[in-house]
Amino acid sequence: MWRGNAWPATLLIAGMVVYGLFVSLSMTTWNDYSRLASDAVFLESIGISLYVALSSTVLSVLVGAILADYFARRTGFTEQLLALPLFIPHLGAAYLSILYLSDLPVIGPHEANHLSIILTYLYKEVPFVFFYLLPVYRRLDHRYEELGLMLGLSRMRRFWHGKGVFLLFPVLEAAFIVFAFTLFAYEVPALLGVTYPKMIGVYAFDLYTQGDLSSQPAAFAISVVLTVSLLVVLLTFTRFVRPLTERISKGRAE
Amino acid sequence: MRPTLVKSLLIGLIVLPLIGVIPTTWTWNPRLLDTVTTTVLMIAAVTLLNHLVGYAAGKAIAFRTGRLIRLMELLISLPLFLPVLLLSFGLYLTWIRLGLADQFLGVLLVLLLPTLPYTIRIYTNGFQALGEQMMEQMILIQPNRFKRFFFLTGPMMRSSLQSVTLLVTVIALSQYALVALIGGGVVRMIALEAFPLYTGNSLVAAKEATIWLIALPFLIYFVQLMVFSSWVRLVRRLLDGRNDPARNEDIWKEKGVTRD
Repeated sequence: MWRGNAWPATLLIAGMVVYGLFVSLSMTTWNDYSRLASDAVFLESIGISLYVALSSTVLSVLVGAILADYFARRTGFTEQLLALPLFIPHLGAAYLSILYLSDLPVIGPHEANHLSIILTYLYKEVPFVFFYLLPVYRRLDHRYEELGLMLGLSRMRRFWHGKGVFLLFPVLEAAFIVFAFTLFAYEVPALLGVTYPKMIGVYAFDLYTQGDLSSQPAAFAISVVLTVSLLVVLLTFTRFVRPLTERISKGRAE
Repeated sequence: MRPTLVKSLLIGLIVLPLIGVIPTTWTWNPRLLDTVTTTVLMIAAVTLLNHLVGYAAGKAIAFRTGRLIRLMELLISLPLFLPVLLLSFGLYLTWIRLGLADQFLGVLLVLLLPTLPYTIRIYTNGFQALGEQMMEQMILIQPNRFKRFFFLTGPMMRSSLQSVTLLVTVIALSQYALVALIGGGVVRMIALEAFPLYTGNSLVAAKEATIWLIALPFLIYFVQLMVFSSWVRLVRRLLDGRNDPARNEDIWKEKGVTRD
């Protein structure tokens, strides 16, 4: 049997990622990084981006997981409704926010609390998380929880040994994808966000495209700093969480 | 939770907002129309490349073992976790040097970054769900790999193939920053026209752009649905025994058996 070939994909993706990072790195000097570390605008935009990304991620993973748990136990047409937002590009979702939230006081666009951005992300990411986790929930073996019940485990421990260990890695993975996306996205915050502080994707992109050439090294420095720090988080994540889940679920018949 | 409550919540929060984009007036905006050709061509090219590269890679990740393929899996999923837009700053300079900047091909390559990782994930899951034993079984039934894809693998992987096309379409459509940067305003996709309209004050034009943005994925998905259902119907017709030599009339006549 031909077992497939991952080389073209790996070379394409790793080539572009590594080369993009390398070029950014070669365009910056040490000075750019030290200037970035004391740049109040940059730090503030990191702060606001973290706030938006974290709240969108936590909420969408929570709601998505609850819905997946609910629909894993039944079949029907209702779950197909959740597929609808998957057809709508993020730009279209942003338009819906402009359309409906514009006249509302607290959650309207261009408010400093960024609630409209978070709501737009929820509309798009809850279905994503739902369809990411639904097969995982459907594959769960309810006999583990029954065994826990028979052994007299507490509710919490029953959940952990019956479901938690199998859900841990997929949930974290979905959360990571949503987090990275919402942290760096350009389109939605550019349309719904405030002019100050800008979210980091908007700040870096505007710095790169609208500023004069002297501000480009700063944009490259932002690119390097954020890429490298996310890589570090990602490596820690795979190094520690994956062996843990593999050890816990070892021996489970798939 | 009561099922009716959940259902009405979902309808209220997901379906009802879409009422706002139902067209009431329609004025074929010529600027938007100009971008539709490029957009559809780009989506077709990105989707095709995604299917070709993603099929092979997904199969490898599902059925190969060893350290190398796990490393490749990690490398392939990098764009899911890294800021693709920020990485494209560096890529843009390289594309200028290679003559790819402001070119269809340059944008096409960069659009692979946010789409290909998803494609490969979907294909990996599809192949894993099919299972190695099923794959081997299919080889025994049909040794020719093209016929095997047509009769067995393709129809069985139908849902994976459909999701890939949908996801790639939607992601490629909503890339404004990436296309604006790498395409330099020369490669004009719908997002490039829609984005400025949203910040402007013409609500009608913005709505028309949104309708294009939302209708295109549905349209492409619908066309794909048609293709797949006729594919499956064709496969059924070819396999229903009509071409089975054992059912050939001449053979029965030779044996002196009459069939009703």
